[in-house]
Amino acid sequence: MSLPPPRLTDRRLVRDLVWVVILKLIVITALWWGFVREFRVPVDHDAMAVQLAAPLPAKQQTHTDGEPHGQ
Amino acid sequence: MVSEQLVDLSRLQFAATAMYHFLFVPLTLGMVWMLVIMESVYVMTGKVIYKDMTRFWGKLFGINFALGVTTGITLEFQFGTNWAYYSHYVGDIFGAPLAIEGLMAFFLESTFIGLFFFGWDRLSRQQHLLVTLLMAVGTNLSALWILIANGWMQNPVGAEFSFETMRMELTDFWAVIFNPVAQGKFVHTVSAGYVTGAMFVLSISAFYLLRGRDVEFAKRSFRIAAAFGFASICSVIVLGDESGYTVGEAQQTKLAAMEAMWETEPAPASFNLIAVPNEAEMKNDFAIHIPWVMGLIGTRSLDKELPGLNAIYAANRERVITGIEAVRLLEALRKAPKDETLRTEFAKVQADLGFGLLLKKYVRSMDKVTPELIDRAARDTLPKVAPLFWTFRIMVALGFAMLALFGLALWYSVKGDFAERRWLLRWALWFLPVPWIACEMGWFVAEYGRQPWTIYGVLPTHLSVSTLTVESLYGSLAGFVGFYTVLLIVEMYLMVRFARQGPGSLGTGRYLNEAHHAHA
Repeated sequence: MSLPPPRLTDRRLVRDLVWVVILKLIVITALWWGFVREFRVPVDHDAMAVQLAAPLPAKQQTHTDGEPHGQ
Repeated sequence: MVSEQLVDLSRLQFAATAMYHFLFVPLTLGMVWMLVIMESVYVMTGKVIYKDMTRFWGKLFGINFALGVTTGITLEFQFGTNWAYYSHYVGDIFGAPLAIEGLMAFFLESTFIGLFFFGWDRLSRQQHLLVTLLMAVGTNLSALWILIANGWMQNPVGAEFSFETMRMELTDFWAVIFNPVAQGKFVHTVSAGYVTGAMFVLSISAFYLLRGRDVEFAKRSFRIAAAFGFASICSVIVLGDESGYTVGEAQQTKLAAMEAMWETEPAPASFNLIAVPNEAEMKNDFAIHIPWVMGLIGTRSLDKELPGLNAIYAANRERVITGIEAVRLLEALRKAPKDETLRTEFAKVQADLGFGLLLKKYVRSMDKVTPELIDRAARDTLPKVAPLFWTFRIMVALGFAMLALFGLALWYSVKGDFAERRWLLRWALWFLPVPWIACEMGWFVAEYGRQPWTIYGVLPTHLSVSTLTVESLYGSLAGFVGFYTVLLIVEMYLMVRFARQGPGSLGTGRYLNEAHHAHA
């Protein structure tokens, strides 16, 4: 029985795994590009203060107090 | 202002990606130490079968690592994309361990993984063993830093809020590192990973023995897995008890919810073996109690009380009222930051700021708070009991079932007749998915039980989330779930394919399936 050269399957496996990793990076980048990139949320201490503490001016309050807010 | 739908979708996305990620992680954590043990035996005895074992199980380890790598990166990115306010609020503390973990994972762990696979013909036996050992250390150190970060979310020590920067600032680095919750979680989590690695080897070895193939290879693998698995599952149970004790110290709400403990009992409290929680009436419709056990586990004493959820609700209601004052003072301080009186007053109530912020889910201005809203905010501090109660019990039951399996596997390994006990081999084979189920249950208890907080008692979840659109979240969520499902299928396909080939896939000529392999 002639044996296959050692590592033949290993080499193929490594090649497959490299492709998987490359595809992963491409898909993750595509997801970011498609769904996240345009919605960058710049947060500094002023934005954080608005989020936590300072009440919005009256004209921007569109929700009914007492219920969880909608956007 | 954010909608509940946005918060829920952001949580779902993080939970989905984290749970997918943790399908890969525990196997990496556990298999790597199995490789260290196998290769150590090879170096000590010179028996080539142990080298073959290291290479074969190492190949399955490599498939798991390659498929799992980058699934964790998306989690770290989500802190910026989906949880921007959270990241600003806690980045000063949370960023350091994540950055160190990144360095560990990318440089230490990945470098030695490369040397492990490509160094067999280039390094001496001892040098290669050292590489495998350092790969194991690197892998486990990565987990340490992630769990330090997570432990801080559960028990935020060594930091304080600054109204000037509107964020938490680090005051004691070593308190963050030696946070008892983080240390407890680390040892419990990595031990669970060791159990997963051991079960993986035990199950596949049992498969070979049931088929009567590669018997010597499978027997030696089975014995190592049985011994390592038994030690690991004992550690998981003992360290799980320690982890539960630290939860009792730092997160009494979570502990009470896990145990469906509505009322404060005289010490030592009883343990609810089975219960039917009634969330609306805040009581159990039915329960089977075991006297004393909960008090002993939760406090390690006979005279310390554990507060029930009703008492916690009442205490938290008071903290919400104090928190309203803290939010008002914070708003005043933002306008007059140098006012010493305001600073002094704020310092007195600052600890309850997070409880006041819970009301921001319902009203923008603290002037519009009503007693009903205070009740709702206080009620929000209690996570849903039934999911926590049952997932915790399933995790524990699976842990003890694995203890029985590993105990018997070790016992019959010592006696030397495990290979003839087909019921044991079948049990081992069917238990292959069990450690993963237990791990996911454990994470569910840890994270769901932290709600409604991202930082326990400090920052509510609804204020942590980025102002993304619901549509973009649906899109990215569908993308992640679809993509990660494909990854999981590829992983399963490769694992099953190489596990079926067995050590014959090494091409050494010493094992079954070599002829098949030659034509593959």
